[in-house]
Amino acid sequence: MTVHSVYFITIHRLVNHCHRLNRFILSYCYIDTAKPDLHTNSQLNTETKDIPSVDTHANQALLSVESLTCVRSDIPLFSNLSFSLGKSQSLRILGPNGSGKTTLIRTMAGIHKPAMGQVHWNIGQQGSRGFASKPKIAYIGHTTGIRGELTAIENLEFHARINGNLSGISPTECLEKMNVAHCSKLPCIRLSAGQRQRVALSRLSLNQYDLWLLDEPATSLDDQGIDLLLDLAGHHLNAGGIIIYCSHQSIHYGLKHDREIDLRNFKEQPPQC
Amino acid sequence: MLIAIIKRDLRCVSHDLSGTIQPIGFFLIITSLFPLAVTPDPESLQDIAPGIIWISALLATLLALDTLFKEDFIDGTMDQMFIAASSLYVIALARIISHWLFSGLPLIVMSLVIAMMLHIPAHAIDALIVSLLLGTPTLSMVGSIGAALTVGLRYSGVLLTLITLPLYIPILIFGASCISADLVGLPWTGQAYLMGAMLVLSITLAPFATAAALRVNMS
Repeated sequence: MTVHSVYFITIHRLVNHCHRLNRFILSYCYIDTAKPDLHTNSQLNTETKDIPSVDTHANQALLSVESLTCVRSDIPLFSNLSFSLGKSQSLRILGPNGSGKTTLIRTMAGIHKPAMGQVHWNIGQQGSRGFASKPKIAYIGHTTGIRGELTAIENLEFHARINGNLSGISPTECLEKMNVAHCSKLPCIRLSAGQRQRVALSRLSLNQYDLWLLDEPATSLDDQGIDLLLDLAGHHLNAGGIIIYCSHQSIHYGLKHDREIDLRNFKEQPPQC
Repeated sequence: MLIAIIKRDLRCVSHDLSGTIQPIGFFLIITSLFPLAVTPDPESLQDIAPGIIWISALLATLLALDTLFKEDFIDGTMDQMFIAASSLYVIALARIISHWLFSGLPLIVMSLVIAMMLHIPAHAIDALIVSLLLGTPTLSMVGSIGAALTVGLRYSGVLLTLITLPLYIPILIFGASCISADLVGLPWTGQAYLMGAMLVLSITLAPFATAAALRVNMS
């Protein structure tokens, strides 16, 4: 009897360990569990906390961030950051260099894990944009995500394929929207920095994204490029999309923003000793 | 997603061959220098041929490993793939498969030419091909873990070699002994089975480890 019970306990422990190991591996490998913060609620959140609603749809917050705290290389960047955004709203992130604008944007994209806090997506069946269960996010960062060996059109085709191109817009049309269709046959390494940025930005019209995350999108763009980007952004907002962006350039004069967040206000004061 | 990444890599290779030719050229150069440096005598060349082929195959794979994830990481494609994909596992697996397609597979084809040069008799060709077919995917799988761990470093070559070479030793031993057993007329299925087991083990576990290492480097 005792031998049997010892066996039983050992096996029970082994199974427990396997479960833990399994969860550990999964948490590292799958984005869904690696981002436990991207909860998908089936009901729309009807109450908005301490945020003045700007248009009538805004009381249905699609995206809400709750007491987000981010730490990079052991330095706390900002803490207790909360905001929520509804359809057709845009948010501008302000802050000096090194205040964590890029980190916030990458956390929203799910690339970084926040030290504390959550990013909620309230995606319900009620949504008129026909939401899938997973939010579709477009991210334009400091690195363009454009392969130098490939032509502009091949780059866009690749991005359309991995994102599951649902809007049916062809890559050439996307390039035309940013006015770079004339160099679509050239390898991207031979394009200028501004042209490459335009190719990267034409990714935004590949799909009907729920959220645009733009990290300094106007980098090395000329005035015409910025105008085209503003046009695209206006269309995106009119179609019910959300934009979160940060920019030191003059783009914010043209792009309306419903809300502003200055990361300096969320910087944790160092403990006084 | 898996197919999309492999297709993109195929496109990249068709536009820019230099990255693919490098490891194969390296393989050809090392193996062709041995007859010049050691001895042109067919008997003694035959004795050391399995070792030569396997050492050069291993080093050529190692040479191609450095760029496995680094290019995607530097130009930001990794971020885009991570946002679009449901898992890093798929990205890792796709890159490993295309790495083998563009470094392992051409190497196996080239090894037939090298076998002629090193005077490996026709009856030992099957052992050569089987051992390379089972061994080179394992090299790519195991090496991808090291490549993912060192992806954030600027000069990762030496560290990558230090991490992966100890893990390559069993494959080197069994791969070379597979061919030399066949050369002297001994059965070589035992070694081949062991290499098959190593391949299965690495296919099951290596992409998980690679995905975990990539995750650590991204956040």
